[in-house]
Amino acid sequence: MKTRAAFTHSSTLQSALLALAAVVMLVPAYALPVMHLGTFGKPTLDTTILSGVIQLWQDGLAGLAAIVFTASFLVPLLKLAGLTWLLCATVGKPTRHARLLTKVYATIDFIGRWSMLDVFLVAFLSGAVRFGKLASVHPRPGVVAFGAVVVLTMLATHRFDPRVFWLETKRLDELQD
Amino acid sequence: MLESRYLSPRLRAKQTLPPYHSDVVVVQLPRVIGINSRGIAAIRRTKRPRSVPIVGVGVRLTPFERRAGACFCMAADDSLLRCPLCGQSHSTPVLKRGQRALCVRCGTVIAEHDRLGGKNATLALTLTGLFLAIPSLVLPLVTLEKFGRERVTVLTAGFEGFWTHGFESLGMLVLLCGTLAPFGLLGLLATIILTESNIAFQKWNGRLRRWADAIEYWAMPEVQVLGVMVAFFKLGDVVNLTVGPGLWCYGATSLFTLMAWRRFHLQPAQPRPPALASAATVAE
Repeated sequence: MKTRAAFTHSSTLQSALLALAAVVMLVPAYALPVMHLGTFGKPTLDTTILSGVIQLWQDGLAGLAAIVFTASFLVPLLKLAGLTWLLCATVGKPTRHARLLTKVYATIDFIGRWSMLDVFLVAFLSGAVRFGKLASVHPRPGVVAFGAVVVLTMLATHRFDPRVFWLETKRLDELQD
Repeated sequence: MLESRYLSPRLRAKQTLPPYHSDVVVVQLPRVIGINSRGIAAIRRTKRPRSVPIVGVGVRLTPFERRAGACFCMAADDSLLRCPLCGQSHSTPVLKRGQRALCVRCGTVIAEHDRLGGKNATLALTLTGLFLAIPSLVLPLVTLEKFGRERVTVLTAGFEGFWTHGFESLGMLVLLCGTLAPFGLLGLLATIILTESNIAFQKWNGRLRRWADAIEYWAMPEVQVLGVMVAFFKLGDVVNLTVGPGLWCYGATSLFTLMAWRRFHLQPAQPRPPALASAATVAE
């Protein structure tokens, strides 16, 4: 495979590695429980990210469930998919869709922060609900993995430099001659 | 010569490029003229003057941009405005109120002159945010009650929760993203705007701008507001909750942070003061 100079560009490489680490962390983030809710007179409950969404749905809060599902499931996955697309586009022939890819990058950069929602949620619950045996919330290791996914994808997006798509295009101020 | 695939059909036919200093695409922002009975803002777009060409160099305008009246704008001076995404440099545009400058190559919004005033409005937003930051740190965020036992939480509850349960790193992350970064950003913005005209602070001004740029990426107060609201609904059947004044103040702070940052980073760079410009020439 013929690799363009752009891929050896250190920022693209760093971004690829960070994204890879985020993909690895996705598995424990969704498989492990993120928090533990103990209420008096009810069985204790370990919730993962997706079971939290289902619980909201069953409580009749469909809109809220949709928001949380988007922020903590769709956004990280779409972000990683988008990053993969961008990283693939830096390899091989110069891209024909520099403008589209730059827009995709801007979108990924913009939506990235919203997946912190679940981390803030668990943080607030574990800080606020502390009534001993009556009701208490404890964070569980899954939230560390999820936080790592969010931070790693944000770092990967930050490291990626969309100017690699424009390397073959001359800057318009160089076109005077 | 620009590769022809980057040219709009109209320019491909002409193959002539306008001079360097006419290279930002300016679009008119939609103007809100009222609210109708359904509560939806009615929007009227200002018509573009017929004499102004609607093409940007090398871009195919989206229908929205074209309808909004995209056109060229004239240069103010020779200082450069660089697109943060694709690296294209532009001359500093002179924007009228309600106009927005797009990068000529990738279409990113790089400058905006909205309908409020100039720097003073940004400073006002920043200072309002800073003043509200104090009550949002001190006043109760949410009060919880279970079987007569009451618990008052403040803004740092999230940090406290993670820290006391042994998740120190996440506690620091939550503190940074929800509290330190947004409030620090507001402080930096106020300092930058207040010392901008002072030549003695020029070096520090640039440094502070870079810090503000770095810190902004991690400031997400609006996400924390949403997180607390989701928690509020989630806990509805477990404990009794009351929203405290701290949450309102924090919500307002996060709104003002967003508005101030948007206005701040979309304002085109000011032309250099003459004294500094001549000093630079001497140094060369």
